[in-house]
Amino acid sequence: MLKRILLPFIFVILAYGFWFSPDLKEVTAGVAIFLFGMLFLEEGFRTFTGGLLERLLKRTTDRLWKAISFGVVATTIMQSSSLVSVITISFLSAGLIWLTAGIGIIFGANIGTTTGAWLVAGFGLKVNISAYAMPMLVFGIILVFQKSKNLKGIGYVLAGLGFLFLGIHHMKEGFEAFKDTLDLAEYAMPGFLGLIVFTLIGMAATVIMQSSHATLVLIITALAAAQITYENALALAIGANVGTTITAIIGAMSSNYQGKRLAAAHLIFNVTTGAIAIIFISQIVWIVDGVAAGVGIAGDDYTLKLALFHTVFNAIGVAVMIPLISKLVAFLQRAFPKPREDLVEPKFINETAFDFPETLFQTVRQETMHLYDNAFEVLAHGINLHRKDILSEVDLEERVENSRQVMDFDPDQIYMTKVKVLYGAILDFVSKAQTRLSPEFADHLYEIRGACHGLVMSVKDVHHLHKNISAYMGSENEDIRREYNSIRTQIASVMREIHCLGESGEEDRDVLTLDEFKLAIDENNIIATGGLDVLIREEKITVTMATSLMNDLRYARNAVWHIADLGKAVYGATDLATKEAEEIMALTEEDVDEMRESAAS
Amino acid sequence: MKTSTVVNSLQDILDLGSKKKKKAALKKILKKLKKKQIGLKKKLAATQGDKGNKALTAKLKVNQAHRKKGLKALRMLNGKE
Repeated sequence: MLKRILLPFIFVILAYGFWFSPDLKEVTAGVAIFLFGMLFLEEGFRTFTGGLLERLLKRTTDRLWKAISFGVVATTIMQSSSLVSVITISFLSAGLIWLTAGIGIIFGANIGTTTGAWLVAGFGLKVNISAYAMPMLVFGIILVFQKSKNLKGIGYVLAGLGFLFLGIHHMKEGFEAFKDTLDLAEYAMPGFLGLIVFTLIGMAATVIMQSSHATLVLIITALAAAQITYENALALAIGANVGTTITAIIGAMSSNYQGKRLAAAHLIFNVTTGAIAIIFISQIVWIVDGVAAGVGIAGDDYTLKLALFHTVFNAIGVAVMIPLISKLVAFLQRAFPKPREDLVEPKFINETAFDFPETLFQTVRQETMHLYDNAFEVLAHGINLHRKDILSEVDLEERVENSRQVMDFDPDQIYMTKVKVLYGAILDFVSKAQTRLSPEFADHLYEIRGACHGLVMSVKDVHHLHKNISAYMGSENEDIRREYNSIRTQIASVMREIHCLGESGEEDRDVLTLDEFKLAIDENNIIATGGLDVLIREEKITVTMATSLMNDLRYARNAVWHIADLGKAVYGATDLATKEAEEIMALTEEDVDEMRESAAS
Repeated sequence: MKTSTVVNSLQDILDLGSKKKKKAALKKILKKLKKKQIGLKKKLAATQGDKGNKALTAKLKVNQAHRKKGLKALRMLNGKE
């Protein structure tokens, strides 16, 4: 609601301002160009992430002091604490760095970002930087159009700097002209009230612009043009420092608990630093005056003194917070706990089964069926069918032909929480159990373990298939649609058969039936029958479709064979002699190849 | 008598139980498969559609392959091969 009102409100205020004062136009255009430059700069540095930056980050964050130093250096080079924060959040979320290191980088970034004020105050206002901006823009934009990723990145950085310089120039010019028409200094507020009010203004300006860097440049240029007093400029800088946390907070809203922890750390640090600066303003100003005199900054060079103030109060903040960092980490871990993943736990296997080989064998089978049940969703939805389509008695071919809805599901999440965990538990159990069993029992356990592995592979196979099935099952091209629907039908058929085997009593089960599906998928393979060549030759399908189909036929074949093997391992006879007899009669790959070849000839 | 012959005879005596079990299991499954084959042939004779015929023929083919392998294993156990 607020968001919807805020934007039109800002537009109206700006439009009124532009109509009222052409100088305001120049200042705000300067801010806009500056922000545009920041975007370019971030884009430029982003092209270099994924390599050097990551390697550096990993190597330089194993100690707190290194993490802080990294934050300072990275932000000084990139001139964007937001980019550094975002990268830190992504690294923290990926588990590549630890929370304390992440907090260290954020602390460092707060000091690093103050270098921007130094550059603008020391260089930007004293040199005609617009003279550098134009060639930078020209060279930068030419490089942006290059194909090479590195050249493009350099181009973005160069153009970004060009826009930054141009923006600063326009802000400077705007405030200079402003001075003749309107003296903002008249609105200066001395004392504690002024400190609070201007801190809030600084915060608001940074929240709106989402860049403390831009706010600071604006403050420095206004201060240089004597549009604001030094005292109020200090308050604005404190406000900008607190307001800048909004970028991290917005970024963390869509990130995981680690991102939220880091954004909270950022907020706590900046609010604490701001509070210290407000409470001890006179003492900090005294320190700034002393240091300024010591390093040779003139007493009336308020822009440089503002930059110094910015650095000093951030450095004080870091010094105060470092001893509290472990407490801060503990607080953040409590406030943003790691969400409990809905991990599936084994239902049947437990260590008491080790003492009874026959029940152990049955227990592992039941757990394997549990694993299959969990994998069922990925397998069924992967071929864009509902569970009920497969488990009912409806004509599968007809159902497949008519169902063209792409299933919305998260295969990775299901795999991680429901399949992988259980598979790991079965692996662990089988490894421990095999040492306590006689060889014939151990062999069957190995078979089940192999079947579980096959099932996990088939989940991955179907996951691979999902994209092309979704793309081609509703295709206008009848031939490609038919081939993909055939794949869907064959996978669904073997799954239905597994269900039927589970439903029937042990005496009536015929696991050898599963060989029919193995033979069918091999016989129907249009690569082997030459059907694919015909489709390509007669231009019924494109070469792209053909290559996709070739890969997908392999995935489908593997999935059907793995699922069939799982059915045999789980629903095969329970007594060892019959199981062995079933294995003797079961068709091997060589048998299937022979049958396929004799059928073809 | 050579030691190896004694060992082999002993092994045969010990193995007899499992061999017997194996044979019985093979026979049981072969019987089941034969029954299935008869059922499939009957169905095939009654089916007219091309699609149904093809499916039943494929099932019969797999059934025959299973039986062939089973019979071969049984013959080996009986010492005929």
